[in-house]
Amino acid sequence: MSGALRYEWRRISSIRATWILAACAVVLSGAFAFLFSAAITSAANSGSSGEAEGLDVSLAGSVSLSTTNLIVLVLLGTIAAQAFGQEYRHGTIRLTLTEFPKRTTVFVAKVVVCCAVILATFVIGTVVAYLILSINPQVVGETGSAFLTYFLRTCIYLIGFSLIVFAITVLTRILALGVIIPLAFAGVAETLLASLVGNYVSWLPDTLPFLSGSNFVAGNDMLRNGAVFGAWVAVLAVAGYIVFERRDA
Amino acid sequence: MSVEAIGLTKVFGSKTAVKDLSFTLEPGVVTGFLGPNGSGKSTTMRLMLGLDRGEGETKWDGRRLTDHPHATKVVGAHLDARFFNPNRTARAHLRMLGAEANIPNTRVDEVLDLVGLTSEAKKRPKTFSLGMGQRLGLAGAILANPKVLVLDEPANGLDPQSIQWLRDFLRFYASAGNVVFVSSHLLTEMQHMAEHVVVISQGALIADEPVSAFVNRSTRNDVLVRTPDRARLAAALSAAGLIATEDGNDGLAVQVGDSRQVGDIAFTNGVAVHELTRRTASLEEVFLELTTGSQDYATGGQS
Repeated sequence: MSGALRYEWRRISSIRATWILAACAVVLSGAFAFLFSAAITSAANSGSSGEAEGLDVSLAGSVSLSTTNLIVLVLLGTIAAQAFGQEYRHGTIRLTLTEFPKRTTVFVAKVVVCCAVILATFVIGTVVAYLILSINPQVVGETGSAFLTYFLRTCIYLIGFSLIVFAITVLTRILALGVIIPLAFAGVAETLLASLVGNYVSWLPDTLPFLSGSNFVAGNDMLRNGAVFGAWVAVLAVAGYIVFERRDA
Repeated sequence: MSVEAIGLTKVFGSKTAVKDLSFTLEPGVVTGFLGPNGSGKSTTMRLMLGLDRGEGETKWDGRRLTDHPHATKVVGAHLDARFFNPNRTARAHLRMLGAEANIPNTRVDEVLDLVGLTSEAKKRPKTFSLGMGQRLGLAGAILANPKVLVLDEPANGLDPQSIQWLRDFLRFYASAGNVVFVSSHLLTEMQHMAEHVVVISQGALIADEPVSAFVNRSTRNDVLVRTPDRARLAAALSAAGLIATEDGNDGLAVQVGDSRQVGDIAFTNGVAVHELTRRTASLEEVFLELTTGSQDYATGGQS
């Protein structure tokens, strides 16, 4: 397994796009944090102090909006999608699978290394956003443990999100679809489904993966939402793994 | 190390691309893999490497590839000259391929030098020609000094000098006790390169034998004899039980393995001989003879 991990690290680190995407994700996290901070300050300055307090802006919420918004998720999702998408696109998956005939090894190595890179990028982005937002006196800071809990939940969500991207890229063998499909669901489709069909099928919103995932990160009914999100991740990841294992390279 | 392919079979929908194909590759010789377009050569190689899922198995030194702890030390494959990320430098590409076996950077540079890509090491292969892509692919295949090389059409796009270099290199690599299995449609080149051939047509085995034995299968192997008295010599040959057909104005093509037999008959019968030549079919001629009609993508003039 160590050879496969080394291989995957060299694969991901020798592509300039990986570093560009990671840098953009960090910079955008900081930029969003700065914009939120500026907007909060502006709102506080333009209104009475009571209105400013009424903003009730939490540090965790602001950091979350800065680091896991749709644009940053596109960047992080692209890093995940590249793991399989680029290999299928350029045919290098055949080189990889010749070196590592046990496909499980390749699948696990890709998941581990890519998730590590994505999490590292997210951590740096979070630190940047945290530092920018925590300077603003209008932003209410949580206790250390509350922030840490939020942070860990976001990490779990990101890993789940990355696994969904992996799975869809493997299933479709197309990098773009691996990014677009999860983001279309997370950003548009689920919200539309929940609002249009949710009135008639009341249980539907509770079973949608990304809504459940967002609620899990927000700390709403964590057990149920976490289980729903986790179940979707597990089903898609297992489907992706089985197809990867059985299909011609 | 020897490589044994046993009962390889691959079906795509209603088409059987490879049918119960079995052969053995021995070390020390270059084995050519021949077949018309669409005959299943590339599919066979992918099946051997476990890249395509099908029936049958391939034993690498008696074991499946998945049972070897380091597959890179067992087999190096070059299946396509475009299998690289166009945005990863040639050197980084090889460093990635060498990661599993902890190949040092010095070996990467050595291999780049060997295939003549040192000056291109820091360039991204998106601008590489087909020939340069072939060199990079070959560099990746030999990087870990594997016991077996599996190469699919490695001479495509190479200039004559490079083809000669490739031939010499593969023969040298095989002579070190390694297995070299190489497909090519350049049959003249293959005749110079390979000592053994595996020939398939429509996914089925046609031949698995030394090149010399394969060439001897041809009906075009004959003896040409030119004489001013063709009728008398033809009668004498016929009386001796040999089949002779007219060839040109004054020649006879005799279906016999030894030209001395024809010379002796002419001498015994007092027939003057102006030319006596043993004609051997080329690998290409034998290949065409055995595979005509089995080409999947034949042009209008050929069935």
